[in-house]
Amino acid sequence: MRKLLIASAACALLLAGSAPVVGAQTTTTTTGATTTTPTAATTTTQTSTTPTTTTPPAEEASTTTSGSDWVLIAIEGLVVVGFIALGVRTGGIGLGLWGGVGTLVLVFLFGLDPGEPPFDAMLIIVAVIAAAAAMQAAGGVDYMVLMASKALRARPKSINFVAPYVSYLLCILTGTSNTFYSIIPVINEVSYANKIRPERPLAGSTVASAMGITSSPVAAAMATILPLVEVYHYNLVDVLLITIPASIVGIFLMSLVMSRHGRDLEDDVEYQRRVEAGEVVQPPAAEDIVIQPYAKRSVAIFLGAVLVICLFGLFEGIRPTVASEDGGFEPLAVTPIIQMVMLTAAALIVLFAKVKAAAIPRMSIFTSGMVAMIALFGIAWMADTFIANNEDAIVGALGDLASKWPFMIAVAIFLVAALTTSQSAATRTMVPLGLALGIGAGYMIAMWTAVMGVLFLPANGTQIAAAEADTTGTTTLGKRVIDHSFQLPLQVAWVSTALVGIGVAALLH
Amino acid sequence: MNARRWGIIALIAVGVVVLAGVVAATGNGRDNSGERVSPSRWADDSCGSVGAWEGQLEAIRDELSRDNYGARRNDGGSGDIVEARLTIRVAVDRAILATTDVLQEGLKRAGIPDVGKGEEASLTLRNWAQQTEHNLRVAKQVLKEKPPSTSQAFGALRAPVDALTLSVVQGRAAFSHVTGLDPALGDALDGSRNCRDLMKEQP
Repeated sequence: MRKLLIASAACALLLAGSAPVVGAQTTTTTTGATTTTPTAATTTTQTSTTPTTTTPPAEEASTTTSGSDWVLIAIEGLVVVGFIALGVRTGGIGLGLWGGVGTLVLVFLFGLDPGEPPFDAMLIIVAVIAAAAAMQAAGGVDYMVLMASKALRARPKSINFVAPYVSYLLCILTGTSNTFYSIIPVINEVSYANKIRPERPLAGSTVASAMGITSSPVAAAMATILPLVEVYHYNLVDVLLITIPASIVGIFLMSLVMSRHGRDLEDDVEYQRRVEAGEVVQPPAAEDIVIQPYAKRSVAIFLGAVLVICLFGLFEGIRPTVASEDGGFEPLAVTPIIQMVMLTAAALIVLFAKVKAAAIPRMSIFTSGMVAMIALFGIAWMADTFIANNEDAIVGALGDLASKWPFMIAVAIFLVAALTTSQSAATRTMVPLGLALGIGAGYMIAMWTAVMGVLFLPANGTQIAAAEADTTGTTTLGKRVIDHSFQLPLQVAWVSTALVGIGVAALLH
Repeated sequence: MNARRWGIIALIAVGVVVLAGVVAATGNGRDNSGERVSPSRWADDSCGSVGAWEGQLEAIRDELSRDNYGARRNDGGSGDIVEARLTIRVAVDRAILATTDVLQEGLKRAGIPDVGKGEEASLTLRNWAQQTEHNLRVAKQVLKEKPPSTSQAFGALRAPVDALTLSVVQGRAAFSHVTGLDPALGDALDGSRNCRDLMKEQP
């Protein structure tokens, strides 16, 4: 890995001298605007289609990415991958630190515009861990673990199935997988207390939360696809009729695979090492858990907050309105609502569950959450710097792939989502392309579920938070970038969901 | 790497291949470029492409109007932050991409309606699409120029909006022209659900 980094850096240094100005990697070549010009003349009508005398500049006529640009993009990609690998090997906060170094390299050596750090996700992590750590300080987490353990007593392994469906539902109700942060500590603690390998429900739930986007009537990606398929007579209900059944089956198959994945917790080598090293303590038996006086109250406040977020997510009418850029008004987005409600929940727990504010930062949930936030900061910033500067070239290349081989459209959607780490970006670029290629709208909707590919690289907040929450070490971000804990459930889920969706679309339409 | 892991990789690879196969079998696109097709199929495909293109423009407009913290939405993917910084120039880039990849490609693949003036009908729509791209590129160039005065600077912001407005209106007019070319085409456009839905909405 060191050799790879050194080689990348050396190439970077060599190429930096010839690197184009900031943010201008894509060179333009003139092919003329008449490349696809129909040869015959068109009868002039009131809609005159004759080109006007104003000529666009030649350099604007066509935009292509040259071979040397691709080499540069590939090297930048290697730098990103290299620093992610270095970060996951360092572990914990090291992920964020190396991500920061990677961002520096991309900006200073390659001359890229710095991208945007994932402010929304970071602030949500802060708000959620404040509430969850307050609940933990009040003994609420122990109480939830006890209750869940009683409920799961007969079949503790059912958490592998229940947790993903809960996270899927939360995402449907709020339109954002950011809500998943609130149940990560709970899933982790419950599975650990029941001696279930935490990786199984955590990784499955993370993927399920990303799947919820294509089943949510209030998600941004849904708002993006609807205008595209409306002309094909698909409304919101039609889309949901395809995506929801497909996702339900996909989650079941994924959970089934995950419930058998990896060694049982007690037999896991890394877990045994951590126990021996004293890095993690064995979970107490359910009957040994002592419930603190205000534990129930803290749980009620926390779950009440989650419920409030779901209500605000589902019913836009009850949200306050904010000014939009075009002068109108629109409902406040769910993201700031999550932050406000979770901070309020933390305050209420402090107030009514008699928690000392000073105790909250000492909680294990707080520590792992802060580590996750810093890790996400660096990694996602670096990834965004690479993506924001190369998105057009990457999307263009994958679009060409789909144009040549339309049967690869689902793979192209998956890869665009993976490389842009944005469901909405993958939707707006690839779905219309598929429709223009003549693929049926129903099938396109089924394959649109592949936008869950955002989890292909370990650069998303939910992945990092889940891995950090799992103190047993079973949920990992991998050592070779793509061999992380979320890869298996992701692959099973996206392929099975797309296949089932195609079947449903064929049946319904 | 142990046998179990290889098995999982093989299973996933088979899954992807099966998925590609199913897509190929069920809806592997339709490319009738340069071919003669029935007027009804041509009408359906052409109106579908125009509808998808207009949908993209609608989405661009929505994103432009959502560019503030309180109103913007985030799906949870860290890259969705990109959505929050849509500028007019990026919007024009996206509109150009939508025009070349969706509108022009879709109209090309729709083929030529198998009627007397089929070629002219196809060309009318494709020329309109090409003109749209041209207008957008001109507008993009206007945005790049440094205006000498504040009023002209604001005026320059109007160029892409005007280009898109004109293109959408001209698109409908192009369809009207096509309708008059041949009664069979008129019937096909009237009979196509895609076209009816497209025409139902104001341009």
